[in-house]
Amino acid sequence: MKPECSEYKKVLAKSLAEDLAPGERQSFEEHLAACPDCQAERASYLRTLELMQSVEDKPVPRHFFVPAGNPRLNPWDLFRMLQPHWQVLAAAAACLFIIVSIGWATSLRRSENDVAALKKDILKSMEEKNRADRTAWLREVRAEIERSRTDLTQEQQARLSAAIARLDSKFAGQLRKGEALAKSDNELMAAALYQVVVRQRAQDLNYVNLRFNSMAANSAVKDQQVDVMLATLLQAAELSVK
Amino acid sequence: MTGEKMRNPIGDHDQDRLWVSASQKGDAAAFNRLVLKWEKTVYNVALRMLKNPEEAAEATQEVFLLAFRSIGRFRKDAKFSSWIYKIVINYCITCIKSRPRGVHLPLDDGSDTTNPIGFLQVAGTQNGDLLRSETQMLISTALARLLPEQQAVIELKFFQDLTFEEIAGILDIPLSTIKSRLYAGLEVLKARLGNGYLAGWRELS
Repeated sequence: MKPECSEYKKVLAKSLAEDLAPGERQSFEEHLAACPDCQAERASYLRTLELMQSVEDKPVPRHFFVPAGNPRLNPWDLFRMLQPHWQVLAAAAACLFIIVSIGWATSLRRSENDVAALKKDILKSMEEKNRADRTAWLREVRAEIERSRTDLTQEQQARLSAAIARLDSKFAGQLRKGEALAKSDNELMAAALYQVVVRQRAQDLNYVNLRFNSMAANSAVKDQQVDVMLATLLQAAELSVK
Repeated sequence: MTGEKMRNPIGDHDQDRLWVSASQKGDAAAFNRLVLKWEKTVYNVALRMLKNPEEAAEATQEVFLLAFRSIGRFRKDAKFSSWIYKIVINYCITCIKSRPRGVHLPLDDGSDTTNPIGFLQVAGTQNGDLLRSETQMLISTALARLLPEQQAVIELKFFQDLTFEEIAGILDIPLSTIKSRLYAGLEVLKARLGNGYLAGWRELS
């Protein structure tokens, strides 16, 4: 085989597909006429083509039909129609989309949950603080009354207890209202009211304590004084629930 | 190309066009006329690509279902033949590539099956049918040596007699790529089919 034959081998295949430029064809035909190797190669190609031409189409094993109706192409069919490398891309894009969607949905949900949880926590802690303050105050008042009870007459004790009970129930009602308000949307107003109540209650307690202290100092307590004290106490209670 | 011969149905594209536009309105009967006209072509493309009659029949059915489902997107100025070739070729390439690795290569121990001295003495004895089936088998074995992409080009160029431009439109790849695949594929086929023993025996029989 001549050295230039390797060059002409490529041209040979092109000539069979009738894909030669005019100049190329002329030099190829000249070479072919003088080269037995390339002639043999060409014969080999021609036999191959002849064999392939001899292949006849087989009859179909059965007839094919599509069912009536108007089926829509679903995404899966579309995916199957794609070339393999596009399939890979499509699959990657679908995965990315799903991941991003899930991430987005989760973050959205989390922030919503966070705000709701925070609101709940604030309301709960406010409620707890209200309750604790109230019970502590009542405990202090009761303790004070117990301490000074020995100094009072039966009648005075009963009136004092009744007054305290009334006060207690009034405050409880007031606190329930406060709690209800705190639960409502207008949390700022509830908080402000709560502050006022707390301040007032501290003043009241202070006043009651002073009174009880002076009562304790004076062993001979006059009914009048007790009356005045009770009136003051009631007055304070009235004032605080306004 | 030597010995031009039309394997695809007579190019009555106007008739195809009428059936296509009826199919696009959901007329399954019109589409089934297209199926009847093209089923042999589609089946034989699939048979040569997949080398298995059951798989080829299944592929043919799938190809027509896919075509019917997506007929709405078929452009009116396109040829139905090009479109159906595109679907069947892509379907077969996907099928071959989704097979377990190595299965698309024939079970070939490398022995020279193109030397038929042994079996043709039996097969070729005054029996044209048997010889024809041997020839088919040899060609099928030779085709199986090709890459799926080379097979697609060989199929469209040599078995369907399409032009390079038509093939480029169907496979959606540049002309230069089609030509290089064709010549590479042809060389593989020549190595297995071009040694002349078989042609010699054909003349004898």
